[in-house]
Amino acid sequence: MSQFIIRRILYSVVTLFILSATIFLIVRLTGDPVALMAEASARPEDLERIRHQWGLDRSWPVQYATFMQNALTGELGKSFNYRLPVSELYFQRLPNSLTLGLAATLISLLIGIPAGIISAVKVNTAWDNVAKGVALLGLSIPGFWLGLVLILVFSVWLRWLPTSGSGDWRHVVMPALALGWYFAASMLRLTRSSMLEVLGSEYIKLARLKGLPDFVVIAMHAFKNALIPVFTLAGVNMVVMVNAAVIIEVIFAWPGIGRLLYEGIFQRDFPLVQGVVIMAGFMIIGINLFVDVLYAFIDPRIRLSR
Amino acid sequence: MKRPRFEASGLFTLLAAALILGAVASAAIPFASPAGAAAKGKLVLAWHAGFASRWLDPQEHDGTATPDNFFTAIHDALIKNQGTALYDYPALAEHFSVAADAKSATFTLRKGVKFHNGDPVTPQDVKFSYENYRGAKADVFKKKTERVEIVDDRTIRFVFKEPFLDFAILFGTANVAGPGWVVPEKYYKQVGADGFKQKPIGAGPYKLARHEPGVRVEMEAFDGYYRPVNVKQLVMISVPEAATRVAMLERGEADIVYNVPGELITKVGKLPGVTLAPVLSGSFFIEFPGFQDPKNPFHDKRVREAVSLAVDRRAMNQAETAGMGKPTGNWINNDVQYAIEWPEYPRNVEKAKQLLREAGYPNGFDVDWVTPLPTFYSRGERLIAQLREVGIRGRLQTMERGIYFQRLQGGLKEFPGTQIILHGVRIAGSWSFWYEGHFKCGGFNSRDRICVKDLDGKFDQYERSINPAERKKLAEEIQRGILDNYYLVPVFRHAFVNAIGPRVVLQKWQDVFPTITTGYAYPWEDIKVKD
Amino acid sequence: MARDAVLRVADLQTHFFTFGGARVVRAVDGVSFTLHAGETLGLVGESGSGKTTTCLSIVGLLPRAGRIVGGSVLFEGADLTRKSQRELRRIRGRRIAVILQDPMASLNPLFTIFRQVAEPAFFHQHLRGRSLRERVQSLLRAVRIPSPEWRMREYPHQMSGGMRQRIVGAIALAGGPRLVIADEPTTNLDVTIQAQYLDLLKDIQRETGVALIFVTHNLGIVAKMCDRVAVMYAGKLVEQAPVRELFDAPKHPYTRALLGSMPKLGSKEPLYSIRGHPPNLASLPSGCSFHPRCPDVMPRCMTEEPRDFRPGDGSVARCWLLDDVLTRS
Repeated sequence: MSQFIIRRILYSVVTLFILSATIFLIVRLTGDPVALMAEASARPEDLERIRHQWGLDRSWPVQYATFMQNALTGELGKSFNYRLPVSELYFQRLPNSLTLGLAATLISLLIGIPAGIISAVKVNTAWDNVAKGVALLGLSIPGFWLGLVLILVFSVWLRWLPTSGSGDWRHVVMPALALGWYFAASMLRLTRSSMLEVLGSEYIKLARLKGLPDFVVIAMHAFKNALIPVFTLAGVNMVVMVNAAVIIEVIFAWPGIGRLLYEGIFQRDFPLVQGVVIMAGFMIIGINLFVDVLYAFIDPRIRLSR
Repeated sequence: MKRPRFEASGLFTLLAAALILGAVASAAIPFASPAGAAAKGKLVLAWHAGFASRWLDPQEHDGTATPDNFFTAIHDALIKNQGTALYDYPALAEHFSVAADAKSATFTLRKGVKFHNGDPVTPQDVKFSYENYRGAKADVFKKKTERVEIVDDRTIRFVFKEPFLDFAILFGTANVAGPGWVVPEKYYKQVGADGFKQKPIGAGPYKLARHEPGVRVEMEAFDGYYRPVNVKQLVMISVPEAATRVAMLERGEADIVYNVPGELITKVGKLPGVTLAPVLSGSFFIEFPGFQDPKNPFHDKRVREAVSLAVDRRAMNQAETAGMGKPTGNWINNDVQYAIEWPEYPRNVEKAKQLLREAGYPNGFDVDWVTPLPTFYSRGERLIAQLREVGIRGRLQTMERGIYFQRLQGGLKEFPGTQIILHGVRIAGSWSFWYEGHFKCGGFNSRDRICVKDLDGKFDQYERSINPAERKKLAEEIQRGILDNYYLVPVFRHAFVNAIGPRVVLQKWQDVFPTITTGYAYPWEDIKVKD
Repeated sequence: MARDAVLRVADLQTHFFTFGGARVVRAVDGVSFTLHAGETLGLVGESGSGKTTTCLSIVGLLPRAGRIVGGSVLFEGADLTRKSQRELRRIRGRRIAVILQDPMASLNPLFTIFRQVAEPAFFHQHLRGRSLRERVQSLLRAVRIPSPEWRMREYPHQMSGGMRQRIVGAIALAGGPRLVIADEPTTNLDVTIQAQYLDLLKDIQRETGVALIFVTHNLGIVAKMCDRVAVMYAGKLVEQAPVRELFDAPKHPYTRALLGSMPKLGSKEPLYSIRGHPPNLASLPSGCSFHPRCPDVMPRCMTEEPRDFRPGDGSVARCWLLDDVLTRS
């Protein structure tokens, strides 16, 4: 077991290295950030000065080496635009993104999983069709449209909720809904197919043959088996929601990481983009590791194998 | 040993942990004011883009017409653009004068002006702010300044190496440069440039209460300000999505909202208690890169004139800004020194076609690309449609803003063949800044695209001249030369349409947007809100 | 009959309705047999003959498209076909237990052995705590699992195939059933393990007096395990006889063909296979369902469905051939 974990950690480190090099290159291929930091009537001397200030006049390998050196001590560079260390900016915004991501994940799980289970248990009945329709809507309705409609209905017409920004729980509801909606649909579909597969299995048949009540068969025997793939997906989804929920964050003026990244890209704020991507990569790898370890606890086949 | 019934306990624990974490995290986020019930004495501005922390520091002014919205609240300058004064409104300086030979300028500080931390504003701070300035035009100031003298405890004199006629304009226009905006030397050195951008201290009407980088700035009235400040709390929030801004306005969550997009203008105008503020901004005009080449169809003046006759400025204005812009004659906005007024160009499709026939294009011709300033692509499309009526056929080229400027700086090679650029710019301070960078041959943004020798010659004369009357004459000649010859074809003056909510006291929108050199609502201390 | 019948199936008919009822598959078409305590009935036939459907019909656990359309299943006197699912659930796992074919698939990989064996006792007999633990251990001992105390903490994947099937057996016994239906329980096991398992089943039957229905297509097992044999073809019981009689004097041509197709040790004859192919249950041949493949087919077989004939030695066969041989039965 510990061998398993150590190996996974090693792979993660290698992945992070590759990720950092890739984003470093890509970001520099998008063009010159200095032109954007001082536009219109700037003179070449202004630009040169700025370039030197940020060390952008050095060669790329040198820049990368400096960056990695700093990164290993936890210093991910300083944002051009905000003049704060990137890690500080990231962690400043992280609680907001976490709140939104968790709320949206919860919504997607609370809607997606029960609907998927009902859909599978009552396959090909009216319930199933309703659920499939809901899933279709969820996957087809674009998040920004839903977000704007939610604002219109609940904020402007009904005056129940605030339009945007962060604050108390009332600020979280709409963005979480708009964000989680799509993922609820994908949860629903995955849960449904996973449940269907499990329900058709022999051990479920035997459980029924044992005369166990339906509830026990579904909630105990089927549920746990069916949810294994669903939770992998939930983990990955959550990381995406935390780090890349750009559209929702822009619409709801939510002070999150997605927006930070998006604005950083447009402003060619290299250190910011690099830093956020690496942190996001870190998070994905961390979550995957966590989910793997979680599996080992849930599924004895993994835990007890050599 | 029996396992617990709910073996799915692992999962439930996870869910429970998630719930708790979410609750804790959301509770940890500070409470915003309850939706829709803005507190007394508070003004909320919904800003239409992201915002960079460096905009709170005038020392690193980036030369764009953006940071001024922010630092004018927290900082103050010796002289500045306010109301109808283009640059010389006396603020921290109660009095200033420029020597007759333009080789020095003297400022006298107002009595009793203080920074937010209680320290007095001293000539030492002024000198520091000037000498430490690293933003746009810093090289110009450095090159031309001999020294900064502290004459007495309230007087500073700037001494120049040669006559510096543009000094006052450069010094006092907030959307051009920032050395005239005074920062506290001691504090600035103490926290460093980066620390200053997180927690700036200035001499302006508002002091910083809370700063969430890129998200919001909360400010409180500074009671040591030498002018009365009406609104106690000033909050600026970044809300990039236009529909959300409008929703905030409707909901009462924002009192002033910037940049209402074209399609929403009419609707917003109809909202109860809301006033539209269509501030005239910069102009959009057509440029013909490489027209000096005889092979280029635009080499012939008649062709350029035909383009001007083909453009339907009124339709463009109506469609793009609900008619709130101004079909203009000059591409230079009239709040700039030496800008001349020029009558609106006529539209005459028949005459345009005739001119084209005379020039040898009876069936029109093809243009490789029509490139509008990003992100105003719809204007480019309308232009293409209008030109097609006279037989000039072009295709729209879109690109990201950064690339656009990069290509402009790349010169003619970035615009090969026959091309049209629909450029838009709000010229700030002096028209000469623009000419130097955007028209003159070799200019940083114009490079080799234009290059009109005789006009450039006149411009050099202008630069060398120290006679204001001569300068004025030359400036007007150059503008006339450009407009008469259609080197540039102005289209219309864009309206930066903002909206003011019902809680703001006003008789007309200009009460809230009194400063003609900008599209923003400063001076902030003058805005009043209802009880 | 000296002993009371545990199970009395009379003219059971189970059909599958697909395509909205347009297609009807007569999976079980008039099956009747009786089973007493301590008796083992072998249910034999090709795949698709209706063996498994018969078993599932008995416990009322048919797939969605299936329905019992006729006949009765009397278990301990009560007709199961008339009972609700709720009532049937109380019988399943308790009074009637089922052993399925694939032991690895039958066990939930995420639950311990203890949990899975304990469930019937937990739900049906409401045993808890210590008595539950002891019950599980005694069950595991009954199926000859060594060291049950720590075995029961393990998971299915940690055990061999033979052990797993024995666990399934333990699960079956957990509720204290009177009838056990074993659907090809040894098909997936190694031959050597098979023998052990069958011995185990026999011992348990001797001890508990449980009635056993043993579904298989392996006649060798039938010979070893069963008291009586029922042969199914195309959803019908074509022959039923005590095991000796079946092997010594098969009456129905299908039975004879089956026996003939058994490979004989030491024989160098080519394997005999029944000509033709199994019928489509949605569109059965007219008359006797076996007639297209029957080596002794008569004109009568093609038009009239045969009825049951009792030659007198305890066997029943559904074939017109018997009508010629015997006078009215």
